[in-house]
Amino acid sequence: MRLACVRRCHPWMIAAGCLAVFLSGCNTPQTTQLDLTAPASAEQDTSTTSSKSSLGVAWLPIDDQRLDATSLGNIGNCAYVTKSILPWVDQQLHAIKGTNFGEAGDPAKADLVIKPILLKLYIQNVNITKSAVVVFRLELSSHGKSVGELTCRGRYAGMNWSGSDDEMTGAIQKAFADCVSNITASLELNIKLQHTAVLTSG
Amino acid sequence: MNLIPAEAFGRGRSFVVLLALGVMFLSGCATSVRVPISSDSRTQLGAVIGIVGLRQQEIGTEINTSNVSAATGGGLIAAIVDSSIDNSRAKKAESAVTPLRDALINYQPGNILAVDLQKALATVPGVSPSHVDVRQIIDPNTTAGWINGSGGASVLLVNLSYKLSPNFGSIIVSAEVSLHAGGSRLASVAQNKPNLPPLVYYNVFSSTYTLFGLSDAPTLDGMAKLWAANGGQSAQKALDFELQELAVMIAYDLTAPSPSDGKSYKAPETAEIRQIQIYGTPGRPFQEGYIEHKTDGRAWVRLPLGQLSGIAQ
Repeated sequence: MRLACVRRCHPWMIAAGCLAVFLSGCNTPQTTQLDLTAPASAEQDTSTTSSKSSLGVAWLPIDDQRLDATSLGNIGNCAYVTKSILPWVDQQLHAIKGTNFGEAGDPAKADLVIKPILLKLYIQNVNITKSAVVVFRLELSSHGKSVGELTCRGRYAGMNWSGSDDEMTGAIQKAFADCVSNITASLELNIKLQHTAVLTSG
Repeated sequence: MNLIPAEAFGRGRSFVVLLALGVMFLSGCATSVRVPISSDSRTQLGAVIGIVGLRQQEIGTEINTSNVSAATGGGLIAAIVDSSIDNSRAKKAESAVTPLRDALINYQPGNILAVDLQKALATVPGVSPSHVDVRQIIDPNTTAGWINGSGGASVLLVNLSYKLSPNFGSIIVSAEVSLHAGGSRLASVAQNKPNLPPLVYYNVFSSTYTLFGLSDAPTLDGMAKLWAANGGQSAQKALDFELQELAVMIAYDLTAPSPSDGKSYKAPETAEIRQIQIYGTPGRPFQEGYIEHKTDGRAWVRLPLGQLSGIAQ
């Protein structure tokens, strides 16, 4: 049935139809709910194993300081929203492992306690390019004392091919993976510097 | 003599229809952007609340779009080249802006504009808001929801955006401002604009702050570092200034009269003409307007459809 229809249509009619469907998505204001939870963990490298002498790190619950917890930004006239993503974000942060640190579980027994503050999480477009950004501030404390804070940003920019939900979800997940990688690197460096400081003072 | 052959009548009719559509389209474009409010209407607004809405979470970037297609007479290959160049420029801009975004991570332009608006509007009879909220615009229905849910109060809505110019030399702050009478007040004079409930005042504002005195033209990375230096001092100074100017311009425009013919904003004979650059449009066009107001090294340029832009004199 579908084949017969295709035979009756001129190729330019099919092309025009496809173009109309493609463009209609851009021109009509619409709100789309994205599901960020599905394949994200596959994008991240959590295979690094911590050494036995590594620091125990504990994560406190996320403080979401965005102006709106549901908004994920806009691409042209299309607005993207999501249901509460904090449990998913929390899960991603807990999965972070480095060579010098690992998950400690109980904050009371941890060497380093991290309070993650979600500052930005959005996707937007610059002309035909989609750009996703994730920013966290990490407040670090050790045995009840503040030992500093880190601001970590993840981003991804690429051509907006079809404007599909999968494409947008993928872009945000890639930005998140970049952020996780930057968090890991920053924590490694921070812990290394603290070790050096302890050794020097000792 | 028939200019259109009989056998081509169908084609001719299509041409006439197209021409008519073109005229309708162009006449639509020439409609004034600004909807002024009379002093009479201002006194009937009752309680007013202000809302600053933001679509974006951080400072935006802009690119000069590639024009290969137009230069070579079009075609698919040229369009693909344009897309590729635009994508490359956008990725470069989004990468280069990172140090500035990091420097402005704690900067809240919405909150600053809210304070500036409260101050500036205190002197405008009838429009002084009891409070100004700052909210995230989620989708095109968000603002209508706020206005319809205002509990009978009139709403002054400021849709704020801010971005860097394509060469990162300027920061441009702009705002779409609308005033919606509460309840059924002023229903007889209310007008319509896309994606907004009926309104009694509307205009679009911009304020541009440029980094001058640069010996050579730095790269995007270089410009971003200049704005971001010392915790984003230059960028914050620029944004503070622009947001304050925007608030003062809004207060000024709420009491500015309608044009004499009720539609177009023609330059008075003695007025100084200035050009405003409109970014993000192919061909990088300029729009001409006249200086309506000068203050402390700044000029406020009134564009032909009523918009107001603040630039350096």
